[in-house]
Amino acid sequence: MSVIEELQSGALSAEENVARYFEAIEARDGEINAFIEVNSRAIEEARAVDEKIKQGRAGKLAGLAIAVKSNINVMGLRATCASKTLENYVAPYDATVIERIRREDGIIIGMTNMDEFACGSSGETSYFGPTQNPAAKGRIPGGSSSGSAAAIAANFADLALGSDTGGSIRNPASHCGVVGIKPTYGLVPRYGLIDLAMSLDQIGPLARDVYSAALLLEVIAGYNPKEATTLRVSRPDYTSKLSADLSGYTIGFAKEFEEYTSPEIIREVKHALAKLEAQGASVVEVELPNLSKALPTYYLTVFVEFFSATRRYDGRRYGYRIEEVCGEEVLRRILLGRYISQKEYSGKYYRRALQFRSLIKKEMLEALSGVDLIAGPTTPKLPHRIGESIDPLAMYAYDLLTVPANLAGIPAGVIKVGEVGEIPVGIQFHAKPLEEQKILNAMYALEGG
Amino acid sequence: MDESKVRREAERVLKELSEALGEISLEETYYVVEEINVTRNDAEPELNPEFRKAALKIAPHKDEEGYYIAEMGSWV
Repeated sequence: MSVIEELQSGALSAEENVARYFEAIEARDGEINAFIEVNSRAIEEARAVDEKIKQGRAGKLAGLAIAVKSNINVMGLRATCASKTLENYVAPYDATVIERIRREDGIIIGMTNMDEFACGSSGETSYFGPTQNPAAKGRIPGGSSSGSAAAIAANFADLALGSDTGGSIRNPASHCGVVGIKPTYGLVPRYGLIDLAMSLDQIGPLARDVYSAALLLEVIAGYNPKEATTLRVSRPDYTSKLSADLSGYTIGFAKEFEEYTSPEIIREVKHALAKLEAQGASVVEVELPNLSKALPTYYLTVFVEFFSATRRYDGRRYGYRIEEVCGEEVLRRILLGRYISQKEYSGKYYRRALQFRSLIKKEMLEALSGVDLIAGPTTPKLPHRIGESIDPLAMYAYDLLTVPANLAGIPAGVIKVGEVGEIPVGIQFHAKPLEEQKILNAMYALEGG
Repeated sequence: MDESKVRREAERVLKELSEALGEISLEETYYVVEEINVTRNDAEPELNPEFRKAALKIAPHKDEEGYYIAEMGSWV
């Protein structure tokens, strides 16, 4: 019986569910470092949900414990972005996604660790120390939603929220062996998310199984009148349409993936493609000739947007002045963004990156025009050992296969398909805008329906 | 932190990323959302009485009347 079924049947109370996660966090998070703060009111909130369950008026997430990345505002808890800059910033309001979770009676169990201001792909740049990978001891969990993925992998919560600007949900989902989804840009409200790069950021779910990920996604998705960039779409219903029958699905695989990815990862992805074929899908080749341009396009865009986003951290209304207290990677991006933003350089770098963004978007949408999904690896290499010295450009290279989805604004999802020397490997699915259901179905089929 | 090292690395990162990008002539993509909801219907403003209290609680410097105290910018 799943936790959702146990909660619905009354076999498990919301209070018991939250209490057992608190016990697990207390016992093992000292080693993993997935959480920055736990919600001291969670038990009290769980009791109130139990009352609603008894009265038969509880919501879709009733009693589920949800961990939240520390760049999302949860009223009364610290949204530190894992930085000294916001070390004492207690969120004065709830992000829209949190309001929606509360409306469906989900319980926020705590705020998770992450790369500082989401600047990183390894989970090592946090002011609160690195997060360990519960699925591959001694290795990085991936980032920047490192704590959210680790919390799911370590069984510290039922569900987690992450944010994905260039792979920050999918990369740690792959390294930690869990399910992660980056929704279509504009599907999930960003109100209350602390920006890394506003034209690329999306909030999305992490979970241990596809059904739970679909459930959280359908709760948080949908138009928000407070925002100029949410799409006018009705609230989706993914869970009732989940299907492992892939008859009629055409899945594309690009040969360029093999050029940039370790052979052992490609081997696991190809095994998964064979499984999908056995479940009714047909696999064809697609072309992504400009895949290598995606990484410089992404970073030149992010430096500028991040620099702009950090101008509010001047230490006047809250926190400390960012340049005085931040870590190396954050400072590097601020320096680069400031330099590029100068009038004489914006055309040379930023506008050129936006032109390449058009190219990547066109290429991804053309490749998707003849197929339902594009499947491929999530990261080009396996996670390195924590503390290993990595050159900034080598660190950025982790994002090569995840940034195209953000640049094109399309949805993408990751699920574990195998292991290489006990290190999880995730397959990544891309779909056309707002076709999250197809991604969920393909992942559901791989999970075994 | 060795700031000069960070600066040197930043220069190298910019040079290498820029070279990897090359040249192109296309229109720019600013936001992926094609239909931006530029205008919206007017509605009654929502006031959360707790917000002001919560915001002032985390202010580094404030006075007794509830105003922020900030140093004058060095550019003034």
